[in-house]
Amino acid sequence: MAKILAVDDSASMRQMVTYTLKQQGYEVTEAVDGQDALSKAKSGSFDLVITDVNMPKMDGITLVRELRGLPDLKFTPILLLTTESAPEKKQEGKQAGATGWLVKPFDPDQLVNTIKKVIR
Amino acid sequence: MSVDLSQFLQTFFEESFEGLDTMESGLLELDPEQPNSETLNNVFRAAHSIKGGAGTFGLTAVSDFTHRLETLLDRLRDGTQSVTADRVNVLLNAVDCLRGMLEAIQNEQELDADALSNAQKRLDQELAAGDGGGGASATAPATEPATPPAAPQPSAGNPSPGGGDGTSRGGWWIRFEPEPHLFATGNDPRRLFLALQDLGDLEVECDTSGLPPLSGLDPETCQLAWTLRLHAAVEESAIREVFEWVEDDALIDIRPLDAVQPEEDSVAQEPGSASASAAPAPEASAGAGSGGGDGKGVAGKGGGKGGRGGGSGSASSIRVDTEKIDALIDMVGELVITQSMLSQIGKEFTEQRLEELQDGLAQLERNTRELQENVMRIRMVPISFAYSRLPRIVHDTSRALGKTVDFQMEGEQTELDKTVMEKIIDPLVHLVRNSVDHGIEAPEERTAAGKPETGTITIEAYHKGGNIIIEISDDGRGINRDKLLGKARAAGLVEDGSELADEQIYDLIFHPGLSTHDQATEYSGRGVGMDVVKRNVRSLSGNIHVRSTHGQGTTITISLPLTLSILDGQLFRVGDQTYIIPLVSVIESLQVDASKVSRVTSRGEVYHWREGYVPIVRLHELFDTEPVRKELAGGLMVIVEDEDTYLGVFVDDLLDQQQVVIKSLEANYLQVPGIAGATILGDGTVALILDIAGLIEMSRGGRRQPYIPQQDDADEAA
Amino acid sequence: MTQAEQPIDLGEQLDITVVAALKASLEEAVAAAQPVALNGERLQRVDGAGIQLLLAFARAAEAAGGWRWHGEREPEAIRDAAEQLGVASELVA
Repeated sequence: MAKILAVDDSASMRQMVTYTLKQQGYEVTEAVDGQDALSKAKSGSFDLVITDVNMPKMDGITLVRELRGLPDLKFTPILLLTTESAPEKKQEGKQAGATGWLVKPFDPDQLVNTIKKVIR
Repeated sequence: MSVDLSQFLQTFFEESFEGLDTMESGLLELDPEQPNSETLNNVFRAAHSIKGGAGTFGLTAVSDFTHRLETLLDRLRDGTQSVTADRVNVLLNAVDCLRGMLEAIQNEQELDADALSNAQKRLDQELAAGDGGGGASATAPATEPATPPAAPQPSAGNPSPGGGDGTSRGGWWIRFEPEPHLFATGNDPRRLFLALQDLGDLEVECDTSGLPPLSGLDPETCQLAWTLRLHAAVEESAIREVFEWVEDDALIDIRPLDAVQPEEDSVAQEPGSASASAAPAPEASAGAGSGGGDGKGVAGKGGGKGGRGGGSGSASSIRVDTEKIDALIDMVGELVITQSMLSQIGKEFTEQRLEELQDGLAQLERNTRELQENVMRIRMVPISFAYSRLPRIVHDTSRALGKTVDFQMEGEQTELDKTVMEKIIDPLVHLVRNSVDHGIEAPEERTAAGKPETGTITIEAYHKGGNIIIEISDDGRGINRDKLLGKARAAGLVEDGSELADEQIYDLIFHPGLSTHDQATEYSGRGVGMDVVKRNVRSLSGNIHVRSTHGQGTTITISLPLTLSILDGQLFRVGDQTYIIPLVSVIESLQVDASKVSRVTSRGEVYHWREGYVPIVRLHELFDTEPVRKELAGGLMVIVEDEDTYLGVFVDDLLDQQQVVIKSLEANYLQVPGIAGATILGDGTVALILDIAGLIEMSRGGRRQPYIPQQDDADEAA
Repeated sequence: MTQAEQPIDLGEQLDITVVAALKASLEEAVAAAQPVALNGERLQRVDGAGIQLLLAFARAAEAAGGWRWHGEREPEAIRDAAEQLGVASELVA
């Protein structure tokens, strides 16, 4: 089953995302910020990265840029969790190399539907 | 699929409270003249997170309110509105309000509607002030989150070239020309076409005219284009939504099929295909709209569950670094290896393998010790949690009193047991408030005394031995030693004519007879409730001391054990009873030299030790048991120390040193003076752990009344 | 028609992550001016980039020594992808 790296500094969001994805049978690795995600991405292989935008240490946009620089993640789908109050982040994220986005707040069904669009 | 969102609420509350603390301390740090952008970012980020979580978990009122807060913070961050002291106070008030809301939801209580509308009004006023005339944009973002999450409507920003927003009954013609970099974003045309197929029948025609020969192809770029015909009666927005992510990475032209010129549409339209595909269309469009429509339903449901689930999960929990957990897993792995090795030896044991067995047992002991240490580490949290309320206390108190105070916090990362940390918060709040209230002088008084107008209060934490030391110092007026002593004599606490060391005099401020009287504040410069502070500290097996120089300031030092549940102990025996002294208190063990023992009228037996005399304690007298040995000469004595005060404990026999798990005597029996707790030894017997500070106090108080319980109730004494 | 000595194994995935490497071996095979056989029996994942490369290869091979699918017919994964992307006529027998 596909391996997903879920990045969010909010523990409750991580729990929700992880729980929902595991219920769908995906293998999920959690990271708490961009730096953590980058080091986990370097040491593992993932079929999808799903990341929050606004995080301490390294934000989601920078993370996308960094991930795109890694040979293994050059083409891996990366989804940004943006918020309705910051629509400009979608474009910033796209320019950094993100595949797409999911707008917060979202519910588990929306999450699963979005992910199924990218990996199957 | 159903996921019960309420299961994540407890975590959401915890992180939100932490976020609120971050916001509060950040706001307090802000200097209106030079707002630090990093600090503002942190405050903003915390608000942003709370809003996001609240929205996700269906707490609409919270996300609505936080949105206003976030909007104002965003404007302060980007400089649209300036940081002012008043604005900071409005934000602090909003933080309080938000905390109240979350607490109410967590405890299933009614929201404080007045506080909410008040805080909201103040926020709206600030937002309106930044709008420069148009009040609309202040209210618009504020009310926006109240409406359920809506699906992005990309069509709004992309006027459709051919046929308006409506449904095209004849289906749609789509030209899709990706930019070469499409693949580099992780997008695949197949995924897009698959999503379109979900909407209805799809014809795909590939335009390979741009495809270079193999040798000239950069295979990681997209050189193909497509013309698509979607035979489905769907809204154009449903198609736009499919292409939403690649809007900027491709030319996308969408037109109603019947509006496309035949020459453009090279494939003849089959009359049958449109009607055939009409059937799946309604279902498909319902699916496409799920971003908006379903969102409403689930968000509402989540809210209901949130209300119910909030209170049930209030059990205490702790957040642990994954590193700590990884270390544990490693150690358990080692333990398993040791265990299998030992069981191997046990199965085929011969005397020749004795050495192997001993090695294995030594390894087991090491594993157990490491595991224990690391399990204890799980409970350790940085003291910054306890610090978090303090800047606000200083800010509010000094503001109310018209004083200016610079508050410094050091050693925030010093770790201590979570329980100890939680219980020390109130005493720290009390002490810091007292420092502002009674320690730091009014600005004019400071200027007159030749001090800087702004007072300084510092709190510092560090590890020393098995303890954590917390020091609170101020550069205020200090304690007037003579007045305090006079007051104590007048109250009959200190006998006339007796001389006390400075330290003992300052310690008087903790005496219930002094500190609970309001007048005492004039003399002590410390405020009420110091006896309560001391009792709290003592209940954590800690100590508290005061140093002060009149006119220059006061330092209060609290010393606490790192953890309440485990200690390294020296075991010894008196009679048939085993006792334990905390190893940190043990200075040395010695054989009693009879020539060094003397009797002092007021102090009983003392022992000449290191150019001084230490009182001797005979536990069998104290605890009324029968010892093996009553004769001091040639017997064993353990010199113990607590806060630079020494005591000789006379014992029958010294045993091992070992780590013991502390069991509360109070919880299982009742509090006994001189005993800190009990433990169960390897052979199943119970050993009592001595409370050295308590013993020292008892030896000072005279051994004729060893059984008088410590004063538990301040009211009796006051 | 001469038999290709060894079919080129496309492995489990024919997608963006492998196209750069695969292009090199396909070019090499075409340059030999011999019929090329592709083995796609193990393919699990085929994406737009993979199909695009295959298309460019097919055209180059047609102009050189020709090509064919190893086995009875084209692999199912290829057929699905090619049909979906509208290029079945060139890649599917």
